[in-house]
Amino acid sequence: MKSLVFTAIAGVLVLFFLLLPQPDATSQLKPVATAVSDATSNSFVLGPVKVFDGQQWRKERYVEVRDGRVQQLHPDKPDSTLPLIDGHNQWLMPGLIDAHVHAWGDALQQALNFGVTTALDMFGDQQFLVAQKAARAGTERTDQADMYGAGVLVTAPKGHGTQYGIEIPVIERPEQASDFVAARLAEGSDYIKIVYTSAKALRHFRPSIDLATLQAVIDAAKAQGLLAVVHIADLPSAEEAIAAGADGLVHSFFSEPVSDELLQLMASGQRFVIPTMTVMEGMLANQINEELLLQDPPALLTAAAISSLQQRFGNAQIPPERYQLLAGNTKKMAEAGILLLAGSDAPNPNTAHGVSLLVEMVLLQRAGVPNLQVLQSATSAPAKAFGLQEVGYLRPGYKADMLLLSQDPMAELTTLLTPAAIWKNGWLHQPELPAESTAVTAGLIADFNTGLTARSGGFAASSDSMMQGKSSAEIRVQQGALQVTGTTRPGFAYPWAGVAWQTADSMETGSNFSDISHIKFTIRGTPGQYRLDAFSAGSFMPVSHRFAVTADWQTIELPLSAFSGLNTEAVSMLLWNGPEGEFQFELDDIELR
Amino acid sequence: MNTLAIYQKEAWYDLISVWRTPGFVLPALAFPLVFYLFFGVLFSPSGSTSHAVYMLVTYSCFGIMGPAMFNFAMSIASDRAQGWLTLKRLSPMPVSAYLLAKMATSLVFALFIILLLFSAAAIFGEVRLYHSQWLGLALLLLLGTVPFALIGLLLGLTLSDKAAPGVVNLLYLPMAFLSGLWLPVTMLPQFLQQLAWLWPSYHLSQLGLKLLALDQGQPLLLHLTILLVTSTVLTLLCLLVFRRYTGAKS
Repeated sequence: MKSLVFTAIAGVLVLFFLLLPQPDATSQLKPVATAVSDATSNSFVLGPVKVFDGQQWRKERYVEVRDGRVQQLHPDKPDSTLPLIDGHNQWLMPGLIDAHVHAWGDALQQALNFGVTTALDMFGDQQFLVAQKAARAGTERTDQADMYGAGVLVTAPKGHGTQYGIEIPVIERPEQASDFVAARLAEGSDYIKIVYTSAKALRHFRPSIDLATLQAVIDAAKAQGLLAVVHIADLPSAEEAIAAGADGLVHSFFSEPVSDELLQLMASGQRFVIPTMTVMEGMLANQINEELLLQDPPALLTAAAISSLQQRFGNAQIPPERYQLLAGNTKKMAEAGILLLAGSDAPNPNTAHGVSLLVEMVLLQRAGVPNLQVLQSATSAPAKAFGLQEVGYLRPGYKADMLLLSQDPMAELTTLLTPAAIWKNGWLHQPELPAESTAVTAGLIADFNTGLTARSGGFAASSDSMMQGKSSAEIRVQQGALQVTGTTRPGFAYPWAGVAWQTADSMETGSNFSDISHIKFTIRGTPGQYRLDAFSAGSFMPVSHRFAVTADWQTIELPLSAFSGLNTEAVSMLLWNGPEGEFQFELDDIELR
Repeated sequence: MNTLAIYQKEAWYDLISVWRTPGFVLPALAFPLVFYLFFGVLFSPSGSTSHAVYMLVTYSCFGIMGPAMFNFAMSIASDRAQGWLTLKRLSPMPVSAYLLAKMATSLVFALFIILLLFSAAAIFGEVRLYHSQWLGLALLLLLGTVPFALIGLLLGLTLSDKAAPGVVNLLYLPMAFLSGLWLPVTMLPQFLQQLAWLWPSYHLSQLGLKLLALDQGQPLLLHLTILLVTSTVLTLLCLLVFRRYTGAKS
């Protein structure tokens, strides 16, 4: 009897639970959150997360994204038909803005791979800039960062910016300022970048526009509704630029401590500074990349990026202690309340796109800038400074460019190096790992007995004529050897003429030379000093080794160690250069050992 | 009479004695139901489907806490005052039968409250959950009575029969409120939200909400650990107090 009662009760209970209603297919409730890896839509609810909105940490825990824009922040899970992405209570912040880059090629893809969702170009090809404008206006799915740019910079004849072998317009007199700025505006420049060195500066590297021209260009930019930012490298130039009304400085300086007058003028006038400490660290201390990145390089770093991070400036005469001065200036500027913007100046030596912005943020923090300000320096600060309307914040209406971090960036800034997820325009960004450079084994590369074929890659004539230089070169195979005729003439800053061996199909990956110790070849030709240039992938600055050539065949064997600074894991090109003047030489039996 | 029968009989009579106290039964069952219907269903923000779900979890927690705490605290305090406990200890019945009987009563009440609230949620609140979620929530709530039974036991062993009801109310109601069982915890001021971590009821409700992906997002293990540690500490305290109590009498 008793057991009957118990069975009955148990039966009723089972029946009760079976009768409880289930969600049907059309039900709005989606109780189970999907994982972050859902990449099928740019409309979703993300949470729970701790939200840094670009300016401050928020109470809200859920972010509602519609069509790639932030719709609303919610304290609790909102009622919504949108898919819910589980944020696992991690940290969410706006995508980063790199306030100082020079972008071409795959720069914007590289940037996005490291969470940089917007890049501000400070001198580059205006065609490239114009091509990016459509993408940045919408929230289409993309694998690259948005870009804003200065286009062509404003500089004097032979001034900084003219040395890269690209023909650019220059300015000589104040009267040209208005037309010059109008031409930039017509080309599509978003703001005006000016290069200026004061007459009072201790060192003059290149000719500069004068103060009157600087003033005229800044006035013209303001009259035409454009921001004017100034490249400076010392205190007097900075003071004069700010006094002339510049909206911001795109570099800090380590020539001397920043003056109280400059601090006050910048703070009260709400001017900003992009200290670009990373690129200067490369001129001075030269340690940070090794410490943060190169010991255990992130998988997304391409061989070209690693080469660029390892590349050195040619001016080793600056004492490394100057770095403390730079850090001190940065700290004083932060304390004075000047808006600091994180900018990497990639892809200059010691920097690479994307990843170097994270290095810059670490350097700002180590200089003594409070963590909150460091986070702002790569989000809301550049948005404020450059008047960007759609990025830099996680607030309603802004683009859903977001980083999900597995650690608290206020406690551990380097968590930015390994974000748990990156969203661009609300789309989950799934970066592709870079192609590995293939290893080259020892042995013959080419003997030119059956033409121009090489074991890998290929040969081509190369000269500075591609950079508007005046040298020239031609190659052909004759009697089982490679014959090179050409002329090396001054014209370009680094004249060259000769034959190049591209080591692999891709210049971006190059070949891995780790197993190689020597390069061996036979050569004869016009007697003189010849030069072998070796290029790391992604770098346009070779490391060189000189050797003498005579009219008789001789075998030359150069140790790879002679090319100090070469990234042997990614060698993209070897370039045999003839001597100065007219020359002809024959090259044969190129071998790696 | 075998031992199992003793346990059964004691449990049965404990249940009967409580059942025959309408002053206990009615509020214990009616309060959570009425509260839930009011705040979870009637006053639900228009168009919200998750509100009724969220509130189902929190008011169920609120519901199961009550009988566990009250039955233990008040009846043990009064049994002590009237000498019942001494008498029972003198009888051949093991003390554990006495305690397990009270636990069984708490579980029966918890089950009734779960049945009532789930029905109300399904019928009036239009709550739709998967079988696994309904069942998981029910099991969690039944298990979740343990720490509150221990709190009740501790109070029953330490307080006089006159003081017990007042003190239990003084603990029960603020604890429920501060754990976000009446209003979502996120609607509380910041410092109270941080205080919520103190209460086992907060962790129990977060576990329940986690089943429905409505929790605040702390790890599952954290809530479990805190609940386990709390229960262990309470058990040790109860043992200590019980030793002292029996030691003084013998």
